[in-house]
Parts: sequence; C-alpha cells; structure tokens
Amino acid sequence: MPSIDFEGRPLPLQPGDTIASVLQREGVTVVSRSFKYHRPRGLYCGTGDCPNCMVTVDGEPAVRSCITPAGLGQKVSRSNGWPSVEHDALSVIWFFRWALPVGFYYKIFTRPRGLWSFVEKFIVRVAGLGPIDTALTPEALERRNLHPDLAVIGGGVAGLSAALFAALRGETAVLIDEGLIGEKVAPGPTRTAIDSLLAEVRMQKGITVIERAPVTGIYEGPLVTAASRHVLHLVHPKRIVVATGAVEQHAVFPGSDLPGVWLSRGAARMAGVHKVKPGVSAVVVLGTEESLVHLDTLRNAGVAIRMAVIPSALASRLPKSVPSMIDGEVVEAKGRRHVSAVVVRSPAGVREVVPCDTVVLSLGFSPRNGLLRQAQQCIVNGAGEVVTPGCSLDSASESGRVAARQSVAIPVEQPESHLPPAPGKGIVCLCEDVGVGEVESAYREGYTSTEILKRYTTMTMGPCQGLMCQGHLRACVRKLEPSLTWTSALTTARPPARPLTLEQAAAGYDHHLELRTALHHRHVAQGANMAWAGAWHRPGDYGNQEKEYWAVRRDVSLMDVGTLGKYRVCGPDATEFLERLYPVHIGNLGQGRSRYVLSLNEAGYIFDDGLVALTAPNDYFVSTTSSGADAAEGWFRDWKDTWKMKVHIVNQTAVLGAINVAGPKSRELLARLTRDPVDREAIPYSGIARITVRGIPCLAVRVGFTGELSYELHHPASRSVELWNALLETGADLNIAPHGLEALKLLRLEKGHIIVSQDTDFDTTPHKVGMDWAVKMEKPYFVGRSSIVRLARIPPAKKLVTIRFEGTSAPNEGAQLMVGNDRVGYLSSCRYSPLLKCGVALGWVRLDNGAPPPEVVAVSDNGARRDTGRIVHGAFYDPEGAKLRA
Amino acid sequence: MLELTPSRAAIVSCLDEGHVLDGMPDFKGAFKARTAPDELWIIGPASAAADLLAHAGRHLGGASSHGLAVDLSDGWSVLTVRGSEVALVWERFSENPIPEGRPVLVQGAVASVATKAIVFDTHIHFVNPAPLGYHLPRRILNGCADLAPRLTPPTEFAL
Amino acid sequence: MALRINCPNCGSRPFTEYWFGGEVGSAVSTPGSHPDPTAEFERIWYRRNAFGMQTERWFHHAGCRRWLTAERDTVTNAIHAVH
Repeated sequence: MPSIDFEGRPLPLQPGDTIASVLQREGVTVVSRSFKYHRPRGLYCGTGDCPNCMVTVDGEPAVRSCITPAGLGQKVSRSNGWPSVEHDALSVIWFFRWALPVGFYYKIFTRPRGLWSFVEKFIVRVAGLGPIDTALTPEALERRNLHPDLAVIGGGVAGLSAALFAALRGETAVLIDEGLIGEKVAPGPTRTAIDSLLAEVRMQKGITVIERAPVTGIYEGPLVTAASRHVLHLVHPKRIVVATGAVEQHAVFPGSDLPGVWLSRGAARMAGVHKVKPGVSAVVVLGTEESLVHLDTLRNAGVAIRMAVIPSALASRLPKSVPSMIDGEVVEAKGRRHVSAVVVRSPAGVREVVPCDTVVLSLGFSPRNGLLRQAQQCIVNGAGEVVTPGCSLDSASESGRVAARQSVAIPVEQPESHLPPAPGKGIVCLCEDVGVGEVESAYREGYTSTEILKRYTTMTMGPCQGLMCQGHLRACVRKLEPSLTWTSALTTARPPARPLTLEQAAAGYDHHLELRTALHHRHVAQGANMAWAGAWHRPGDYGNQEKEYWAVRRDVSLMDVGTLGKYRVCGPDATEFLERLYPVHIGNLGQGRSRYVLSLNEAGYIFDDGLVALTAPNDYFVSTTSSGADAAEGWFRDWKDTWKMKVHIVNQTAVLGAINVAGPKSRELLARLTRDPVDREAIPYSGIARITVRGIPCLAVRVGFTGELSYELHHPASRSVELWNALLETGADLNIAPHGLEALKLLRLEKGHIIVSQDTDFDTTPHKVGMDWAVKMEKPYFVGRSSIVRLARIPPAKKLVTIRFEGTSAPNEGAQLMVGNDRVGYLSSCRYSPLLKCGVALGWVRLDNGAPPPEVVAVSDNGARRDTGRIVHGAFYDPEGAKLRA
Repeated sequence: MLELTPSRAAIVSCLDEGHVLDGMPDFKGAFKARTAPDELWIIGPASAAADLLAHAGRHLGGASSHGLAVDLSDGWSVLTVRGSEVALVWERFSENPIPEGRPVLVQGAVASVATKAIVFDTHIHFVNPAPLGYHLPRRILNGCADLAPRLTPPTEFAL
Repeated sequence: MALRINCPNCGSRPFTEYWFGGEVGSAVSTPGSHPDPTAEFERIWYRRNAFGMQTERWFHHAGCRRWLTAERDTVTNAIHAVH
C-alpha cells in the first residue's frame, strides 16, 4: 500500500492527500509543539496560513503540511519536542512562563556575566521550528523571468476573473497561486464557481498559470517573486492584481490553541475534500453565512454536532435537529493535549460546559493583505476578499474585473470596524507564542504602539507574518489606548510574505563571476594556482614562488598582465582632456614616450594609477590597474560629459592581451623573436614602440614595476596564447619561467612601489605616500588640485614608509606596529626578500612632530611574534634604477 | 532542441556624431546598430574583418575629420543560440522583455553579464565581453537542460 | 530591489545594470572657473541628502556604457525624467 514514512511508521496514502490529511486520518492530532512554551498544537487554519501544522519533510524544516501534497516514501517528522512531540517534557516551560517575560533576554540572565552564553545554548535548542539538516547539499535552482501586462496573485474567483478580463482585452496575464487552484476551497458554491472559471482560463490564450508557487514579495519595478519548489519566477508586469482572499478570523480565548480547535474553512476542507473527519463530536460557531455550508459538509462527513453557537440573524437557517445557542460565545476550550470540552456562555451570562473533541470556529474573516500592502508606489490593486472579506461571489468577480483594468493604484481602506474584538486572555501570536498578558505587560513598560510592540514581543514576526494576529494586536492597543488612533496602525508589510528557502532565494543567481584573460586555460594547463585579484582570476603562482622570483631578478620571466585596464583616448581634444584629468604634464609628452600617472578624485585622494603613452598626435594609450579597469571608463566618460570635449574613449581592456617580459635577459629574448630594434636607443626606459614579435603586432612599453629591464607587450588578445608559447619556447635556454602575483608582490615591494588599494586607503593623498613628484602643482588645473592646495595647509598625521626587518623570515602582512606600548600603525605589505635576506615592508605610521619613528615593533600572530624594524628611505633594491634603465 | 554555437565574428565600433553614423552604408552580411549617441556597431563574419574596418573607415573619413572606426573583435565572444525555444532562453536569463521589431540589437544584462544581443525570431547572437565568454554557454547548458541544449563547434558568424 | 531606470539609449533596465554616480552638483569643476575655496569645498564634500527630488547621474555599465541624468524622488523612488 502506498504510504509516507512518519517517524519510522508507515502511514497509508489516499489520492489527493496532503500530509495533514494523512496525519488526521491516522489520528495524529499533536502535529507540532509551540515555539517557546512547547504547547501542543494541532491542525488549525487548514489553509496554509497558521504555523501549527509545520513539520519536517525530507530534512526540510517548517513545511506547512496542510498545503503540501503527500508523496510516496516521504519522510515526515515533527520537531521541537523532547523526548517526542507527543509527550514533550519541555511543556513544563509553560508553568515557568513567569520567568520568561517579553524581552527576557534583556532583563534576566544578565548577571553574573557569562550566564547568558550558558543559558543561550539551552534556549537555542528548545526554541524554534526544528533543526536544519546541515548535511543536505543545496541544489542549484533556476530563475525564470516573465513579462506580462498583468500579474494576478491568487487563483480564487476574483483572481480568475481578473486574468480572464485582461486576456479578453488582448493583454497577457500571469496567474499565480500558492497551491493548485481551488484545492484549498471546501465544496460549495465558491468551489463550483472556481472550477468553472478555471476551465475558461485554461482555454483562454494569453494567460500563463503558475501553480504551487507562493508569492513572497512585491517590489518596486514592479517585480513579483513567486517561489515554486525548483524555480524562482520573477514576474515583471505592468500592473498587479492581488486577490489573495481572506483567512478565517483567528480565535483568542483560553485553550484556543489546543489541538481540536479548527477554523471553519479548514475543517470543511478536511471533511469535504479529503473525506477525513476533523473530529468525532463538535461544537461549531456559525458567525458567517458561509459557515452554514460548512456545517452541512461536516454533518455529511459524520461529525456529530453537540452544539451550534449562532447569531440570531442566521438562526432561522439552522436545521432544527442541531442543538443551538443563539447569540452565545465560546469562552474556553478545556483539555490537556486535546480539546475535551468547551465552555460556552449564553447572552445572559450563563456558562455551560459541553463535552466534545472538536471546536469549529467561523468568527468572521481577516484579509490576507500582506502582499497588497507592499510596493504601494506600483500599480497594485486588490480584488475580492482581500479588500472585502466575506464578499459575495458576484462582487468578487466584479472587483476582479475592475482591478484588472485599473491604471493607478487605489488605496485600500482599512476601517477599524474590521478589527476583531480585543481578546481578554489566551495566546494571540501562534508563531512566536505571545499571549494577551505579555502584550499588556509590554505596553505597561512603555511599548505603546503596534510597530514597537511588534519588535519588542516579536509578535507578527513569525512564519505567518502577522496574518493571523495582526488584527488582534491592533485591537489590544486600541483598547489600551483608545484616545490615539496612530498607535494601533497597521505595521509595515515586508517580504517575504510566505516563507522560502535560501535555495529558492538564491535561484539562478550568478555569484561572483570571475574575469578570465585569453591565457586562462594556458595558465591552468601550466599548473598555475589561480587566485582572485579584484574581479579577475589570475595565477597566484606556478608552484614555486621563489623560483619565479629569481627568474625575474637573474634571467627572464613572463607575466600575464592582460588584466590591466587598456584604453585608447584620441580625438581633437585628447591632449587637453588628459591634461585636465591627470596631475602630471601631458602636453609635453613626446611621441613614443609614456608617463606614470596617479588618478585622483576631486578630494585629492588616490583611487588608481597607471600609464599614459602618446602613440600618435592626439592619440593616447592609457593603462589603469587591473582592479580599476572597468571603473576607469565611467570616470573618463563622466569628465568627458562634464567638459563637453571632442574625445573618443575606446575600452580595449579585453581587446588587447598583455604580457610583461621581465628580467635582465628580456632584451636578448625579444631580439630573437623580432627584426625590430629593441635596444636602449630604440626603446629607452618609459619608451614605447610598435614591434612585430614572431609575426604578432605588439605595442611594447618599457615599464619598471618589477625593478628589472622589462617590456610590456600589448597585442591582439586572440593571439595571446601564440605569443606566450613563442616566448616560453624561445627563452628555454635562458632559464625562462613565468611568474605569478605572489612573486610580483615581492618584486615591487623591494622597489618600494605601492599597490593602490592595498597600500592606500580612501583618504590617501600623494603626499602621504611620498609621491609628491607625481603631482605637478605648477599646472594651473587638474582634477583634485584645489583639494591638494587646501590639504597642504594641514600637516599629515600619518605616512606610508618603507621598513626593514632583520631575520630569516618576515612578520605577517597587516601586523600592528608599536612604539613601546603605543600603537602607531600597521603593515600594509610585507614579504621576506631572498635576495636582501631581510623582511621588506610598507607600513603606515603615525607622525610625531612631522617625523616617523626611527624604529617600530611589528606584532603579529596574536602577539606571539614580535619583530623590530627600522624605517629606511627609498627603495630596498637598486635605488638608483640602473637595472630598470639598462 | 537548442543549438549553441560560438560564432567567429568581426566587430567594428564606429565613433562619430550621430548624423554621420546614421549615414553609414550597409555592409553585406553584417548587422549594423547604434549603441550610443556617438557609437555605431557593425558585426559581420570574422573573415570580413579587414573589409569591414575599411568600409567603416572610408565612410567616417569622408564624412568628418575626426570619426574613428576600431576593430573590437578580440574583446567579445559571440554565442549563437538557435532553436524554436530561443524566446524561452531569453526569458530565463534576462530581466528585460524580449525586444519587439526583430531583428534588433539590444543591450543589457543577460545571466548577469553585460550583453549586446542581436535577436531574431529563430536565433539570438549573444555578444559577451570575452573575459566572461565562458559563462553563458555553461549557464544555458545548466538552466535549459530541459530544452535539450547541444554545444556545436565554432562557425563563422552569419546573420 | 527592482527599481528600473529608463536608459535613453537602451530602454527600461533594472538598476542593477547601473552604477550610481551621485547627485549632480550646482557647479562643476573646470579650468579657469575660480570658485571661492569655500564653495569648492562644499561642492566636493557636502551632500544635500535631499528629501524629495534629486538630479543624479547613473552609468549604464551593462548596456551602452554611457552616463544618464535622472530626476528621482528620494521619498518614493519614482523617476520623473531621464536625459
């Protein structure tokens, strides 16, 4: 026989079952334990709104069993009970609730210090909605975009009518329902109307129906997100109709949260759709017309009606055979783990105890309006019961059509007359276990309005998001503070309106896409350890950092620098444009020459650096750092717009590959591969030239970041692999070895060169890093000049200095720098130099009377390591630059 | 069925005043579209790259003194997706509606990547920055597994 | 989450396709304009933090890669004009 696995026990399945109907048929009445007090909870709303029916299904906690189809072999278990949900020893907490007042973690367990961290471990274990299975591997889900004219949320009479109306007008509509359309509705005229409208919708062109996809939010745009099990739907409509209906009004009286207390629509659904009796003998409260239909359903299913509590207006429509009390009310449900009797009170105040195992309540309706109150600046309109709870089928249908054609959002009136009566006693918030008494005591503590009561008591903040208890919270406040209306206002509705998994929230999201150069696969094949560098993936090393380092210092090496930002800036105003942009002289740059540039923002702070080279009159090659490559285009274009200049900006970052050929033997290597001259006269230091290397056109730039003779070869990216291979093969006898980022970081550190953003902060001026030489104050104008003039009047408080550490290893990057007991700064870069046999570093230090301390102690490894370093001036390696200029 | 084919394309960016760009004559086998007030793109088969650049240069050279045509082919990866369900592929990966007035070039994010797409009824050429060219094929193979996607060897770009 | 901005070159696009460039200042930095140092300082450092309409710059990095100027109401997030 087909069955589900319920805590190790097979429970048989019937076609059309939900998990809840299986449990009910098999007599499982305690379905969960409450969040805080471990009170027994059973099926209650039966429509997917309250938290009572939540179980763990196949490892996923907090699954609403009343709207989840039961499936063959599903593993279902209850959570939050010890030793079991059925017999939960933790329910004694209820009797100690005086020790857990609202906000108890601010009030008790605060002394002695350390007590809280002990208590917290216990509280974390006993509170909640079940454990998360950390062994489960997340599944990568997809997202799907839809662009209809109209999105309709909710497939009831109003929603179906709205979608049909739009489609008949020739528009496209997407109709979304959190379950299968109609499945939650008990037999009766409403269900009949839904079935016939649905048949029309299925035949109608232009309507896309998405079922089993709870809408979690409406965002500006507008955007509607609907999370089905495997796909996150992003619906981008022009207009939205919210037709999410209403929920039976939640009941609050002592014992109202006991298993056996049902809301009418849910009980009728259980009896009428699943053919399972919600109980054997029942007291019913028939407060709405609709509940008379539900009464028939219950009686047909064989539920014995012990008493019907009914308002006089409806009394004439009650079958004679049903015992009744006119205009009475239910005041208490008795029982320990299940209802055993209810107390009813007559209009005259006479109490009567009626033995029964079930109470079915229809007290009125509250709108399910969490979504309707989101993103109110979009064209969002409500239709049907979400606007007028308990409305007739005709008016639901009509309001659907009206809402579908609305081209502006009509605000929904939320009259306070819709509020339920203020409850006297009992649990108000089922999700977070908050009682009437707790709301009142919080109010007395000064939390006097709904918004702050919500935050303090956590009421309305659970899985149902206030759907059940929002009205009661407002009614409580209204009673406590009748003179001020704003204190009982509706709280702000925010997504998610329905729970969703992290898997669903992340569906189809493209995490951190790494940028790859044309040489990516070549590096991987060569055994490179790829590492993040800004948005790029680059070789950190090829397995031997020291060997790579020595290749540059002694022989020849290659590095893929295709990640650099590469721009062509040309046009009649190009010279003037760059002259204004950069703090160095551009106008006197000779053709075939390049110049180092700092990029300053208007505050005079360094945000990038690079190189400007003149390739032809008014035609420049500009490079930026790898991490600044993308943003540079925005910067250039912003100033181009501001100054309205005739200049073309061509982003060639991906168009050009770049390989840096570095080391004392780099000239010898290049000479083997090109017929163009590459000697000192043809391409001097900071010179540029167009050369052809093994048939590949290159722009060669003599740069010096590593401190050695080097040529950056910029070439068409499609030929990068060809060029790389030619250089490697031809240089084999020169001991060529490519180097990665790690070797580069040491090489440049020995030269004292900064890496912008590693060695600089957001408020770093050129002066603070000792680069006044790169700022030509004699220029009348450049971006950031006025700020530098102003900042020059303020003595700097800190400076970047070069520091030398003796010893056989170097302190950690980021180490704190101390003078005595004073913290004076930190190391921004630090490496051990195998050549100089000492630690070399760049560090920020506080200035004392304008001068850095002569000596600092670097503290790293949590204080275990202390190194004394000396502040030195200038580069560690080849300070005269003789090698660079070779 | 979906067919994913990397296309070898020539991409020429023309920079000039709008009215000059609007006068750019057609080039047989290439697609031409304005991408910005001062920019026009011409996309054709890779084998025609030199001719395309010369064609664009002739027009810009004749029409104004400082127009510029540059070959950007190496900076972009073109993936051509063919099949009856290309509209569904678009829907899954773009937050923007499938454009009307096809064929047309549209610019915007597709699967989180800045994309220029030439959209036809039966196929779409997705033009992605080369450093992220690896992403879209991988994404479509995963996200459209139900549409039976098939990666075919690179071919010459064809409208 | 899904504010959309109408790019004059590309059409309506979600804001995730743009970089935000901040409010447009009343004065712009150009050579030869010698603003008083205080005004210059305020232009660089002070923000109106407008409650209401603000003229601001957005860079459409995922599309045409050009700047646009939008009039946005910071209270409702409604964008009234783009040029």
